[in-house]
Amino acid sequence: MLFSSMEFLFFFFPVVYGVYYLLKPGAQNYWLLLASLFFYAWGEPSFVLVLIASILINYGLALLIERNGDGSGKKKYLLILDIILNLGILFTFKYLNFTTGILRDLFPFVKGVIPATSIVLPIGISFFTFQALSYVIDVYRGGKAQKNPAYLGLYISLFPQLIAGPIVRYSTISGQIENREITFSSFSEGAMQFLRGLNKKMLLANVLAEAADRAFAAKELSVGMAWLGAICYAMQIYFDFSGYSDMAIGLGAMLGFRFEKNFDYPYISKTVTEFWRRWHISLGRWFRDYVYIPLGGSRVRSRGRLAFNLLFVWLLTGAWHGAEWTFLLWGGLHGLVIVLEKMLDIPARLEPGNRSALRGIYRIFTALVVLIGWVFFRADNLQAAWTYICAMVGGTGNALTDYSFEFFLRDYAVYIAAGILICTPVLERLKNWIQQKGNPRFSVCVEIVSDTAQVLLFIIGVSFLIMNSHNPFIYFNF
Amino acid sequence: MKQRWINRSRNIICVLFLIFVGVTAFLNRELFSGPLNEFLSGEMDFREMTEDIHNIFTGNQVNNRYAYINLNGLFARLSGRTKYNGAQLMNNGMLIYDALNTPKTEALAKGMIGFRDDLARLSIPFLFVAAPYKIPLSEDVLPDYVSVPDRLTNQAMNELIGKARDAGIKVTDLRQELSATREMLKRYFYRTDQHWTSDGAFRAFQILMDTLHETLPDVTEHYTDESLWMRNELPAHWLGSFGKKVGTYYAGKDSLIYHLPRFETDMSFAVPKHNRLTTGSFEEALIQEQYIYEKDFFNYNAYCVYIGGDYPITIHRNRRAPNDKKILLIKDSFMLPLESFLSTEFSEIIVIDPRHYQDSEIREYVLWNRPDLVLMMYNPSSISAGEYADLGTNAGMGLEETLLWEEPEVSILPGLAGDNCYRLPVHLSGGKTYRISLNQAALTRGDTQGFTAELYNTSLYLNDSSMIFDIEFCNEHGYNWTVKVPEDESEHELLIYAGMKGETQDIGLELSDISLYEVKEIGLAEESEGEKP
Repeated sequence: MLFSSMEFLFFFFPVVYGVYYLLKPGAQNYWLLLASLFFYAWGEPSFVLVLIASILINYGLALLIERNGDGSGKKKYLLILDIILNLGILFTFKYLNFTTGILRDLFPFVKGVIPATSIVLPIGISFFTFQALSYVIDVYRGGKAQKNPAYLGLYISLFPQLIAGPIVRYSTISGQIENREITFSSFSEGAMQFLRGLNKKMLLANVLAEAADRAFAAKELSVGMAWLGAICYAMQIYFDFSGYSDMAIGLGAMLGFRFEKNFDYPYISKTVTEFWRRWHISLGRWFRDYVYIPLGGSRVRSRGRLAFNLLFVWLLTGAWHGAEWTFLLWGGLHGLVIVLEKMLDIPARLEPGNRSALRGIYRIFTALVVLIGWVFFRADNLQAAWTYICAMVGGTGNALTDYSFEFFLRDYAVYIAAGILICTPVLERLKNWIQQKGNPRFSVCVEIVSDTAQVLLFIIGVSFLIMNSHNPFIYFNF
Repeated sequence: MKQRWINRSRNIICVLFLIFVGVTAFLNRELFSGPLNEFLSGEMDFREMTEDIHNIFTGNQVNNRYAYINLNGLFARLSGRTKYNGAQLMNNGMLIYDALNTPKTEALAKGMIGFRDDLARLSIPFLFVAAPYKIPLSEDVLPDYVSVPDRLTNQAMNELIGKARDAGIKVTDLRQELSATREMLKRYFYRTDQHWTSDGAFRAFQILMDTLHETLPDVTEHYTDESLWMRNELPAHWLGSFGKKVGTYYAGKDSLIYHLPRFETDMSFAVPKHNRLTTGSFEEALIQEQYIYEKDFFNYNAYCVYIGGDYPITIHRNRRAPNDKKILLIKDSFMLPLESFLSTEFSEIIVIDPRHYQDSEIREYVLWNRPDLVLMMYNPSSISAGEYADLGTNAGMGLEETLLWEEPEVSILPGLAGDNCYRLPVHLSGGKTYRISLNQAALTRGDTQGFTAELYNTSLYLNDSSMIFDIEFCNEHGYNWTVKVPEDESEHELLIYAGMKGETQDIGLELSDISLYEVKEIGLAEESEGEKP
C-alpha cells in the first residue's frame, strides 16, 4: 500500500488512527501491530510470512544472546547465526536471481546444476532486515532484549517506516514503544510533516518522473534532453525518497513516535562525503556503525586499509540498493570519490576561509558525480547507462536539443523551478529568519499561510491521484 | 506567545485536514466496505479484496470525482501545462488531440480509388469531401515544441486529395472555407471538442448542395438560406471530448449551437442497431432534447444533439423532400449535423460509419441498394484510422437473383407479445445473401409508424442484422432489404415484426406481395436479367 494512494489516505489512515485513539494505551500497540501486518500484506499477502519469520527469528535469537551474555563463546555464535539467517533471507529474495544468472552466464557447464531462479522480491525487505539486524547487534553489544514479541514485532514492522525507512534503531524507539506522550500540537506538527512529504511525492516526484522516464526510454536523445532527464531524475528520486521519509516521520509523530530525520538537503553538499551525511542518513549511519567501524573505520593504520574499508562499505551500499551491476557501479563511484576526498583531505581544504574558487569548482564536481551516479542508478543496465552518459556529452552524434527537450523545459518549467528551489533550504531559512527577526504577527501569518498551503496542495495532490497520475515509489524496489 | 499562536493555528489547520479526510472517507465508504464485507464473508480472498479496493479507488467511482478533475485542470493550467491528460492546448486557446497516429494516406487513397471504380461501373457518381480540421491551413497554432508528426495532418489530407484528383475523383475541400484561418476556427469549431459547430456544418451544407447540383443537375437546393433556419446558442453549456479530460477550468466551457428549421418538415430517422425509429418534424425525429435541456459536463456529449451519436448504419427518410434522391453517406463523426441538414433536401439518406458497420462490405451495400450518389466525407484526423480505408475488395459488380418464395398476402395478427412476428418459411444458408421485398404494409390494428425486419440467429438467440421500415415512406417508395447471412455454424431465420420489435403488443399488420430472393454477385460480363429493379 502506498501512502500516496486513495486507499491509504481515505481508508487505512482514518480507520487505523481513529481506532488507535479510541483504544486504551495498553491496547494501542497491539492494534498498531495488527495494522502494520495488514499494511504489509496489502501488496502481497504471502510476504507477511517472511516478515513474521524475520520477527520471530530475531526475537528468539536476541533473547538467547542476552541470556548467554556471560562471556561464553555462545553469544558470538548466536550473533553469527542471526546475521547468517537475516542475510540469508535477504540474499535468497534479493540476490539469488542475480547470482544464479551470473554463474550460469560465466560458467555454462553449471546450467544443469544451478537452475535459473525468478524469486519475487518482498517489498521493503532490505529495510526491515537491516532494522532487525541492528536490534540484535545492539543486544549483543549490551542492549536490553525485548521480552514481548508483539513489541519487537511492532518495532520491526511499524507501518510508517516498514517498507522505505528511515531505518530506526531500537534504542531510539524502545522507550517510546512502552511509553509515549502526544499532544495535539505534536500531532499537528506530524500531520504537517506528513503533508509536506506527500506533496513532494505527488506534485513534484511524480510529475518530474514523466520527464525522466521519457529521457531514459528515448531511442534518440538530444544533449539537452539527456541533461534535463538526469536532473529531473535526481529531483524525482530526492522528492520520492525524502517525501516518503517525511511521511513516515509525520505518521510516526501522529502516533507519538519520534523518528530522526533522514534527509538534510543533500544537493547543497560541498563534497561527496558530505552528501552521504545528508542523503539517507539512517542507512549511512547503519553502515558506519555495523560495517565500517567494526572493520576499523578511520582508525586503521594504513591508508590502503582505510581506502579498502571505504570502498567496501560503498560497494555494499550500492549492492543494498539492488542486485544489478548498475547499483554496484553507482556505489563504487561514490566510494572512489570518497576515498579520493579522504586521501587528499578535500573537506578540510574546502573549509570557509580557504579559496572560494576551489570550493565552487569542487561543489560543481560533487554535483556532477552525484548526477552521473544517478544515471547509473536509473539505467536498466550498464550499456544503457553508458549510452546515456555519452548522449549527455554529445558523444552519440546527437543534436543539442529536440522537441522533447523544448516541450519538457516549457511545459514543466514551474515544476522544475519549484523542484530546484525546494531541493535547497532557501525557504526553510527564510521562514527561520522571519521567525527570528520578523514582526511576530507576520511570523504567525507566514506559518498559517505555509500550513494552509500544504493542505491545499494536498487536495490538489488528491486530484492527481484521481486522475490516475504516475505514482510508483522508487525505493520500494529495495 | 508567538509560538502559542503558531501552535494554535496549526492545530486548527490540522483539524480542517482531518475533517477533509474524514468526510471524504465517509462519502466513499461504500467503495471499500463492499469488498471488505465480501472478504469477511468468505466470498473473496485477501488479495482479491485489496485489488478490488485499489481498482475501485483508481476507477471512476470516487465521490465528487468531477470536482477533482476540474481542480486538477485548473492547477495544470496555472502551472503552465499545455499538453495534459490527452489534450493539447493550442496557441489560440483551443484544445486538440495531444498526439495522432501516422497517417495512412496510401491505404485510404487506394481504397477510395478502387471503390470509385466499382461505383463507376454501376454509373453511380462518387464525391469525396475533405472535412475541415482544427489546425488552420494558413498558420501553425500548435506550440513550437509539438513534434512533427502532429503537424502532418493537413499535409496528409493534401496528399489524399491530390491522389484522389489525379485518379479523377471529384473532391470538395471544405478546409478552404471552414478552417483556412484562425478566425474561421473560432467561428466554426468548438473550443474543447474536435468537432465543428452547427455553424460550420451549416456552411458545409450550403457548399455541398452547390456541389451536388453540379454532380446531379436535377438536384436543387431549397433550404440552404440561413433565414429559413433558427439558430440557437446555449452559452457555457457543455464540455467536448478534450474538455472532459481536463475539466471546466483548463480551457473553459463550450456553448451548444444547434439549428432548427423554420419550415415544415415530416421525416423519420431509423437506427437499426438500437431498434429505434423516430418520426415527425426535424426536431422530433432528429434532435436529442436531453442535451438541450440538461447540463452534464462530464457525462453528456452535447455534440450529439443531432441524431444522438455514431451508429453503424442509419436511415433518414423525408416524406416531403424536394429532391427525390437516395444518397449514401460514408462518414466519420463530423457527419452528424451535416447529415441532418442534408436530410431536409433528399428523400432518403443512408449513412454508414465504416468504423462500426459490419453487416456487409460497403461495396456490397452499394451494389444491393444502388444509391443515386455516394458521398464520402472524412476529416484529416480520420486518415490515421485504418477502418476508414476498408470499403471492400475491388471486384466485378453485378447481381443475379433467384426467387425462393413469395406470398401475395401475409397477415400478422395482433397479439400480447412484444415480439409478435412473422417467420419467413425459407431455410437460410450461411454465407448467402437474400433480399426481402414487399409492396405495401397496412395496419389492421393498433398504431405504429414503422416495423422491424430482422435476421435472427436461432442458435445463439441474438440479432445478427436488422432493418427498420417507415410505413408511410416505404408504401410510396417500396420495401427492400438485402442482407447477408454470416458464414458460421449458426442457424438463422428472417422475421418481420408487427411493429417495432419489443413494442408489437396489439398491433396487426398486413403485408402485400412479399417475396424472398437469393442474391448472387457476379462479374460484369455475366450480368443477367435477374437484376434488382
